[in-house]
Amino acid sequence: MDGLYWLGQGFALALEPQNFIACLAGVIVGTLVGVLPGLGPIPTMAMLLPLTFGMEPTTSLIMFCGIFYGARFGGAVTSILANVPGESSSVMTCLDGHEMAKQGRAGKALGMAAIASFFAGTIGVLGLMLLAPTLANFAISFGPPEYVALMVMGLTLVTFMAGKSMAKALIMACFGLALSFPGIDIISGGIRFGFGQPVMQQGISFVVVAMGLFAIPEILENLEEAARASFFQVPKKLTELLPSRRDLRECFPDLTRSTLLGFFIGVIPGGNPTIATFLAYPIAKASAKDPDSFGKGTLRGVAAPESADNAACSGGLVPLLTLGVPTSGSTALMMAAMLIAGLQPGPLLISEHPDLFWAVIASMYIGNALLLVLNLPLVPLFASLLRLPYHIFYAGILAICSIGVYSIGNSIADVSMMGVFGILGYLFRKFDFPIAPIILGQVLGPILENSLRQSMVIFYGDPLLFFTRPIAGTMLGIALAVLALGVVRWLRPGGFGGQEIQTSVDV
Amino acid sequence: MKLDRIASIVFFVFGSVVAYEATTEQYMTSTGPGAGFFPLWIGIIIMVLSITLFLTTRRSDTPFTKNRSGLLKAAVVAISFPVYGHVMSYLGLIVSLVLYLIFLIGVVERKGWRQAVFVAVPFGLGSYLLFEAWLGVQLPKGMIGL
Repeated sequence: MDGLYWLGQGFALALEPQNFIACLAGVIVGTLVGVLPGLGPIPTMAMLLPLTFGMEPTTSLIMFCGIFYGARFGGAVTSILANVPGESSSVMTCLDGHEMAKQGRAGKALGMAAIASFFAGTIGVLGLMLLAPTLANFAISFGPPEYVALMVMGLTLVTFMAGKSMAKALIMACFGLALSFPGIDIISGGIRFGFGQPVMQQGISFVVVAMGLFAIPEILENLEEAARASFFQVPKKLTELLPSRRDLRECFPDLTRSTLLGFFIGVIPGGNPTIATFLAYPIAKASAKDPDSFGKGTLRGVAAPESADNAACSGGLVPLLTLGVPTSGSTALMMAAMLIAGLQPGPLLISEHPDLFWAVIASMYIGNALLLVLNLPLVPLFASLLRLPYHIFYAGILAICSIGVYSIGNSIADVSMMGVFGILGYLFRKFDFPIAPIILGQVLGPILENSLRQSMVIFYGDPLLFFTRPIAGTMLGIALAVLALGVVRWLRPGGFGGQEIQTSVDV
Repeated sequence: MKLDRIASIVFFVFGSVVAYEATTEQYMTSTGPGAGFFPLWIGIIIMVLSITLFLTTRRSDTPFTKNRSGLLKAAVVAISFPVYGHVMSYLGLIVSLVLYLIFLIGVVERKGWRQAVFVAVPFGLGSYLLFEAWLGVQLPKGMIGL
């Protein structure tokens, strides 16, 4: 078949010495920089973009992809080791990943992150190869009402899974939505919710919020419960450091399901890896025989979001490469790299530069494989970071986070804001409010709002017309059903016996 | 008062602030919903949810903390971070970083000045080398120029 021939050519090109080395260098540098808390894939890629100037287009794109994958894995490393999400799609990995680290199983979590990414990446490449044209057609049928329905469905699913009190989870999700309000309104162009403060007028950065809400409360809680010299149990045997075959078998259904889910969400323009992870996790939890193990350190809780994330990235390349439409920050940067290299992403890209297209695809696969090979041996090294005395560990985390946060917007105010959110996050935990819905709300806020406003224009202000569109109607129907379930579960008497304070995030 | 009730009151106020601020923006324009449309509804939803939470609080009181000295330490660290951010605007990042680490290790953790300095200074140096020298990130300079 045509595709296979070109894929073969692509591999040949990608394995040429200079391209292979570029990929390798990209993966290593990407991982190293991505590991630094606060520097997720997007700032990392932006910082390293100048390195690709002057290289041949193919080589520079390959290196860029390597950086991309490396940085995302680095983000997973910080999520697991320090509860610091590198970007919004790493948030879900924190939940079980960090719990596992606290239980001395960081190696397994890290290993699973690499394996899940590799697995999803492989399937993603296959999907890309086989389905790109068909998917492009599917992607076009998604209009503003479908986005609204998708986001609403995502939000209701996440709040439903967030624990016993749906009201609290919904409040948190709305809080997150509210965090997206300050700043410039995209449609009208004016500044709103500025309260006369420049800090508010430029908008509240998601990374600041995520790091504040996740990293700091974790540290504060550990300090409060205190008195232990070492907070992490570190395993002694090497075999404990990686997932076993049995672990892999157990996770296989979740891996497959999350990969497929992630890929399709990634294909939709605007469907980003974040929402893929936020859907994959609750769905994996709901499909498990022991849903309560999620949030307490189950390997599946790492496998699901990591594979969904990677698959969504591969899926996200479909609209980029076929329609020229980037679907997330990372794909937008990749588009920038392509433009700098003199390529025009779009429908003509595949026909005009098939060698390049397939070389990029092939190098993504190689990048994933390299990640696996390079990082698995590094896992013990990362895990041994946990042997540091805790006071040095957490002081270091705070210090690095402050630099990372600063470097995002060159704004000192962001550092203080992170601190404020740290205090807020700690209070939320104390009062037993789930934090993860905030992140989803803040990330989805702008997209949801704009899609909603556009939909209202399409429907002449009549919201009931949402249900006349099959895809949107179905998703909204699911959302309503989930909401109803949540209310029923909440109102049932005796549904609240014997609660303890949740000290860790339970979605 | 039960924790949930306190929280619901706080969020009710928050929701009303959001809703109020939203009314200062345009609700509907000739081309569709304005900047105030979505925030207003979200503010209202938050208020409704807060009321629901208030009315349905059933949990009995759980203690706010089990370890008062630990809580104190946590509070100090919590407040110190925004303060550190503020200090950064006067002293620059690297200097503030070193001072902050000395504060955390020497004062909060009481591990002694030697350990504090031995950790803080190399860390500051390393951060400078890594971020400014190698990655080229412009870190804020303070009055001393560091």
